[in-house]
Amino acid sequence: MLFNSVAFLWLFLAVVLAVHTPLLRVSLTAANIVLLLSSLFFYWWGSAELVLLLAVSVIIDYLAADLASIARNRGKSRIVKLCVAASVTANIGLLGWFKYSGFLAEMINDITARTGGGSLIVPTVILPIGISFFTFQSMSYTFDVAAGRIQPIGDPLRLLLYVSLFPQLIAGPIVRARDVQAQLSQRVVGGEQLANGFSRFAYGLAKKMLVADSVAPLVDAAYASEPTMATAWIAALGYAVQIYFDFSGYSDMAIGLGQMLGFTFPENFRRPYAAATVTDFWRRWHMTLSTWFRDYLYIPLGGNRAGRGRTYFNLVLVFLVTGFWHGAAWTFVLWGVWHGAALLAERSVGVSATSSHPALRLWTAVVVLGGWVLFRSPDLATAGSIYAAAFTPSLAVPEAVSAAFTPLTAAALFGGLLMSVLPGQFRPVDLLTAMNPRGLVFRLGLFGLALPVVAFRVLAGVYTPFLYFQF
Amino acid sequence: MAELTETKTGTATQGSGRQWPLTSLIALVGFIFVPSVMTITGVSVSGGPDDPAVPPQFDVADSGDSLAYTEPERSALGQLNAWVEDRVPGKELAFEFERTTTRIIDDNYEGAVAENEQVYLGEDGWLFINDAVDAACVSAEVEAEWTAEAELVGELLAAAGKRSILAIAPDRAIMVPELLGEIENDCEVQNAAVVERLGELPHVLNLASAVSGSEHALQLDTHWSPAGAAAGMQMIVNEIQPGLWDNPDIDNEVVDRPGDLDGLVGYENTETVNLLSIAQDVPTELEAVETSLAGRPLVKATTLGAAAPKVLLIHDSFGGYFAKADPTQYQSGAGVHYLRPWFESVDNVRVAGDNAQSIADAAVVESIEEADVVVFLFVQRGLRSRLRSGLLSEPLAQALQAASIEN
Repeated sequence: MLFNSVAFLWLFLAVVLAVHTPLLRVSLTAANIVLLLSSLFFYWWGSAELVLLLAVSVIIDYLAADLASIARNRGKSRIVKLCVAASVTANIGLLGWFKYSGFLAEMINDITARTGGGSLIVPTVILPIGISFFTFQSMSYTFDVAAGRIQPIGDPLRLLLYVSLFPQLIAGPIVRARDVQAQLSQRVVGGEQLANGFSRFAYGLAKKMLVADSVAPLVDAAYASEPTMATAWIAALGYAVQIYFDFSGYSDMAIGLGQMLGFTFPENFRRPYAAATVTDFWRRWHMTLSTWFRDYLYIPLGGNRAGRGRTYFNLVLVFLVTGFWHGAAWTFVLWGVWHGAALLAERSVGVSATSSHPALRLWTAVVVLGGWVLFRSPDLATAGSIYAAAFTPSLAVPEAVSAAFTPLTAAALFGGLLMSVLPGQFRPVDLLTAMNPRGLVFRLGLFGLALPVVAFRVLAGVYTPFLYFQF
Repeated sequence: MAELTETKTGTATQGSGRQWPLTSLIALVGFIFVPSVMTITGVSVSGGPDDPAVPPQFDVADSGDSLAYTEPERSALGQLNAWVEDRVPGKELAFEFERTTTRIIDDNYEGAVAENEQVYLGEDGWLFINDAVDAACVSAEVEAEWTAEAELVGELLAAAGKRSILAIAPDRAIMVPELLGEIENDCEVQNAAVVERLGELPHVLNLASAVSGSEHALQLDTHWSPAGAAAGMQMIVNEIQPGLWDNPDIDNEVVDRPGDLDGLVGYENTETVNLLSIAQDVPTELEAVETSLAGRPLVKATTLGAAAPKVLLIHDSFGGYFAKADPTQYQSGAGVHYLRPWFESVDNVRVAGDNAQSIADAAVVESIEEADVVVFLFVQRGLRSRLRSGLLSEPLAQALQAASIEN
């Protein structure tokens, strides 16, 4: 069920809010049960019996975390490690089978074909929606309990509710148990939560449907056409706008929905294209994923405290895994390595997240845009041809691209770029806020202009799935 | 700091008891709960087909050319989603809004066509349908099959004492090749040669020589223009009875007409059409008889004092516009409109897009029994679902057998 679909907006969400909000005042347990059933229904709607996977992941982590907590209290660190290993094995095993088995089989077949060996049967596995997100959430719970950062949740249904909470179930933000543990036991939903949550939700919906979805046809045409200089730059810039407004729009919606249900989810974006360095970019882009890897992989590997060589190795490894997390394809792997190498380069010359120089901004733009070409391309050959075309002077514009370059897509592309790149004091959103601190003008624009258009587009069925659903 | 933190949405109202914006709560109610209640209770503000607030939709699904409007299917919704969407109010209005805004910001077809798999854009804003220009080349085996089927149909009717005419209309791209632009239609051209060879059969009438050029085609629609329909039907009339329609007496009426291809890409433009009609001293009386195909009745047209042969026309959509329950709603431009004034009895029936089984319906059997001449009118791109072995001859044989049994 998509957040921008009729079924979600005007059936599911309305019913959940109408039932959950008053029920929460009467009984937290009853409200939690309603929310749990709603979340499972939400996942079942798109994934049918695969909802059982979610339960399996949660049961494993419930048992592993409980056992780890007991062992920790008794000083049995070896058992704690075994519990963590069990959680990792189970969750990575699920991910491995559902997400990577086909890729690995094909890779092995490629190798054996060259050496004259036999071939494996490539399994046909349906990728459960959001598996990368819920397995990571589930694992983080065990990690935090095992490290003593939080106490076990206790009630398995409450743990299942935390992992399956529908606002963040499919595409994040990756919420840690410690972020919402207290709210599972006590939370308030009133006019403030509903009003502020809806503002945030509506803002995300507008970003997704008015910018990301408008740029999408142009980007699709650019990647489907014979690369020329124009298409290569449209492909890079257009996808940068599309993925940012799509994914950050989803995060805004998730955070807003969470607020409406009484939860405070962590922020996932902080104007990433305003970053002056690649290091800074990764402190602003998909922050819940980068902090997850920082806390549960980079630091356990030694972080930056085990010497320069080890730090560089850790950095590249973390970004290799980050790339692989996004998908089972060489383009994602290389995208991760590309960013890891850029971070390594910055660190080796002493550039930090707070460094600032026009040349550094240019470097960051090249790294990020070049990375998006890899990320979006169906294969490495396509990415290579786009890179080559980007620097081969030509005025040719393929017909499909010029056809898709309508006033709407152009406005979305350039408007989106401006909104993403402009310093805060020049952004329309910030200007409006500065002129009108109470936000009335902004809200009137959002609710009076953007939402009606969004509603028409939802009704007319012009919405598209969120890009991060595939991960 | 958040992308849009609460300070940016402006929640602070210093000095008052409420610390959050009432407008957001009103928007929540207006955007989520009001449409929800209307959806759940089935209240619709979109109105029905007669609601003047909703511009009339050109029903391309009625053309029988597999051009059904596919927006709901395209969104690949499950049954529950479809149920919800069916009940949601304002849906038609939203489609209209989306089309209108698309038209405003994209004043040519390029953007819309780029996203559409069914429609190509040619020169000067002419639209072409993919199932014609992307048609597969007819192999020698298939051509032989078509020829055999055409021969068999002629033989069956001849054996029953009926005269048969199998008229084949050219595809639009064949009529206006100069307007194709960069659209390739090599197989369509090759298949037109197959139609030419079929035309060598004594009862097959290739209409390509009569219907040709942009004045005989519509810019935004797969069908003939009224002038094209008149030219094609004149050829058929004169094939039935030479010289009958040598000096047509035709009235003109200029109308704006929506196009089916235009509708397929989400637009509702119109083109100006010179609607022709044949002046008649005696009006044609029309009577509709239901067949097994809903909305496609057999229509009996009687024009007292006209020529004697009783004609049955079996056609796909090129032959008649809409076989509506109310036959007085016939629109000009259709083949039947130009055929019916010339003969005292002209029955016509439109077969389905993918089969002709309704020919064996009792109503059609009765018409076959009474007819002196049975005319089939098909378009070139539809022959693959008309002349494959048995697709036409089998229902026809059943009909003839039924007619003889009744005799």
